[in-house]
This record gives sequence, C-alpha cells and structure tokens, in this order.
Amino acid sequence: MFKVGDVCVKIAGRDAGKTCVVVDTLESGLVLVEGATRRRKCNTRHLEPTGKSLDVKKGASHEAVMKALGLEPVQRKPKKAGEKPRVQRKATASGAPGTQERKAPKKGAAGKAAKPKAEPAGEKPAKAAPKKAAKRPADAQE
Amino acid sequence: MVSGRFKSRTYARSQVRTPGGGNVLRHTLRKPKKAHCASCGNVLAGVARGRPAQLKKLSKTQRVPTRPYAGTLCSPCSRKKLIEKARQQQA
Repeated sequence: MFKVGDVCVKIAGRDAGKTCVVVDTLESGLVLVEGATRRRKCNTRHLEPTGKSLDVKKGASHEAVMKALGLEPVQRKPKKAGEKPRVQRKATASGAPGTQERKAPKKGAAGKAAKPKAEPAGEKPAKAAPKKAAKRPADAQE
Repeated sequence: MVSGRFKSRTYARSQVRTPGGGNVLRHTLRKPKKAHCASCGNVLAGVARGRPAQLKKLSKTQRVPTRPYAGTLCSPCSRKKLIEKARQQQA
C-alpha cells in the first residue's frame, strides 16, 4: 500500500494537517513517518496519500526528508537516553526512612523482584519497584 | 425575601436540610451545556465546561484537545475536513 518515499498528509493526532513522508514500513502494518510531523510510527488509516512520491532512503534522517520536501528542517531537542525516569514515589530506591519501616515485609518481595532486573538495565528497578510498592498498601487494605 | 439577583434562571434552586433540622433554599450557578460539533451536532469530547472564571484557571491543554479544529469539530468531522483540504491541494 504505502511505499518508502510516499508523501502523505496526517489526518489524526496533534500533527494533523501536516505533510510527511513514509520512511519505513514495519511488520506490524504500521508505517514510520518523518517530515513536518514528529518522527513516529503511524497507522496507515491516519494518513491521506497525496499521490506524490519522493526519492528518499529507507530510514532517512529529518534533514534529508525536509530537503526532499523543500522545507526547512525543524530544530528538535535530542532525546537523552540515560535521563532519570519520571516520578519517584514513596520509593524503595531513594529510601525515605519512615516509609521503609512501614513497607519492610513487602519491600522484601519487591526487592527480590528488583534484584535480578538490576544488572541488565540500571533504570528499570527504579521504575518497577516504586510501582509495586505503591500497589501493595491498596492490596493490604482490601 | 429572596434578593433580586437570585431570581435569574442561571441559578438553580435546591432544598437543603440543615443540621438543625430546618429546610433552606440554596442557589447555585448552573454549569454551561456541553460543546457540540459545528457540523454534525455530536457532543465534543475533551472540551472543559464551566463559567468563564472557572475556565480561566485551566491551562489551554486542559480546556480543549490538542488537535486542529479541536473545540469546533468532532474528530470524525475534522478528519473529513482535513482529507478534503489535502485533496484540494492536490488538484
């Protein structure tokens, strides 16, 4: 249906009405899109093809696509992979003394679950442990 | 006597039972009705309702969806319009 290089207009989402170019087709049936829109996976139902096609490589960069479209590239903040994850709740990771005492029996289970995960990815236990710790008091009340 | 400003129909009246056991009439401002799509008339999702003073307290993203034609057209109607626009530009 959609080939690499097809020029489309997005009809849904906050990028709706903007021109973009198909840059890759994925196995799931989704399509990777780049241009005046954000670089993202998109359902073909949310794209309206214009019938035009550009000569663009698979997985092309933002600058290459904008040049082909004849538009100026947009300044984008680079995504930092190692940045701190979101809100740390009454966290086992940060270790507030009052909360640790309350959650000591449950923390053991969360700690055990967190430990095997600790080595492959440093960020994940920080995300996974607070979620588990936050759920436990609700279960205890019920 | 009820003060004149409460006679307006923008106020709703309700009977309230007080702790002392008496009944008292209370006047509350009505909320404005939900926003509707300009073309099909369906209720618009994600559009905040409230009097001007209440809406002013909200941020723009809290009032309305982040989408073209957000507060005016429903999502199916806005898609139709965008498709029309895209096809006009082709021709």
